[in-house]
Amino acid sequence: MKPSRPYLYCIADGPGSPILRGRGLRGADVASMPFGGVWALWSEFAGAGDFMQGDVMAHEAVIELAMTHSAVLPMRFGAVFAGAEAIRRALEGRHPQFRAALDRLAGKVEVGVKVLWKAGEVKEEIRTGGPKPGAGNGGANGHAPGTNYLLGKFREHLLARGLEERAAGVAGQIHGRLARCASEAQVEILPTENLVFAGSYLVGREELEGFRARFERIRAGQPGLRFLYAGPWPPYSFAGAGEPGGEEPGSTPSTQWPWRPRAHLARPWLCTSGRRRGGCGESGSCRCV
Amino acid sequence: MSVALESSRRVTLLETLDRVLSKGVMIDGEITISVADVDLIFLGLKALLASVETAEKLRREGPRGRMAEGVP
Repeated sequence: MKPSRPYLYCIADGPGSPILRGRGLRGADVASMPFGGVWALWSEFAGAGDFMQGDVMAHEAVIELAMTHSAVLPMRFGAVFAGAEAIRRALEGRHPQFRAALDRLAGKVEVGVKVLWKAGEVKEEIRTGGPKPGAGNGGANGHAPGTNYLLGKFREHLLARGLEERAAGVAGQIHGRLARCASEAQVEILPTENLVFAGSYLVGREELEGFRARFERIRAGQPGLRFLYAGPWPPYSFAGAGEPGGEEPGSTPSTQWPWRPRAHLARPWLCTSGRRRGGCGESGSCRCV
Repeated sequence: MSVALESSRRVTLLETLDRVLSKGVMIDGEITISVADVDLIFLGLKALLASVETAEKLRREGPRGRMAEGVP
């Protein structure tokens, strides 16, 4: 039988709630460990190394329940510790970061927006409207096979660059408008060819309605694109208070807007973050149009 | 179950997995038993994930960015 170890769900601004009893992984009771005004919500878990889909859902469910009572810093799934003492050491060692992050995230939730297009159609537009390598000198057909190969590679490169630039343009417009209604925002541009961008937005609970209204207005004005709206979520994308080598809360991200397209599509994990003060205005509509 | 509802649940599941497995706080000193595998999945996948088990299967078949195609 595998040894039971503590599994950590989140760092919270409160001691949790009796409703978390029996709601942990595999039905375990969720306990809370206090340290200097922050709490670690955890449970015993004997299945380390053997996670199942239900465990992922239970992880999320515990954090969602916890966030109805207090600010939370959600852990990435799979945070197993050697023992309760290891969790206590983590709380002790990172207490200032946890405290600052909880204060920063209090009353806020994360919203995800994804915008999709049909990359094949966009490429066709670029192909028919863009420069034609080889045009004006007889075209590729008149060249040796090696030259044709290189011209083909050049066309692929132009196409990839064209797609990146268009995605950056769309993201700059749509993500920019959404980010102005959020406390903080991140964007990942063209993670796949059909996904123009995936944005995450930290939004005050009382501003959610206005943010959603803003989203719907933008969607209505872009009939050629598909939109996905997801949330509210625990602030997974904005809780980076403990990542080794990661950004400390509130730090300036390494990549700034405007985004510059790169020469290839490999892992464009590009983020930008806009911070703004104040809310989205009253009557459910953002004033930062 | 209606098609719309089914689609909605698939998207929700995808969004949940995307966040829970690839975002959130990591702390030095965690035991990362099998979690390394989860990270590997997301390095190459960005796919429609019916489950962690399915993700493992997809990873073995080779990474492909199929997420967008998978979104209904």
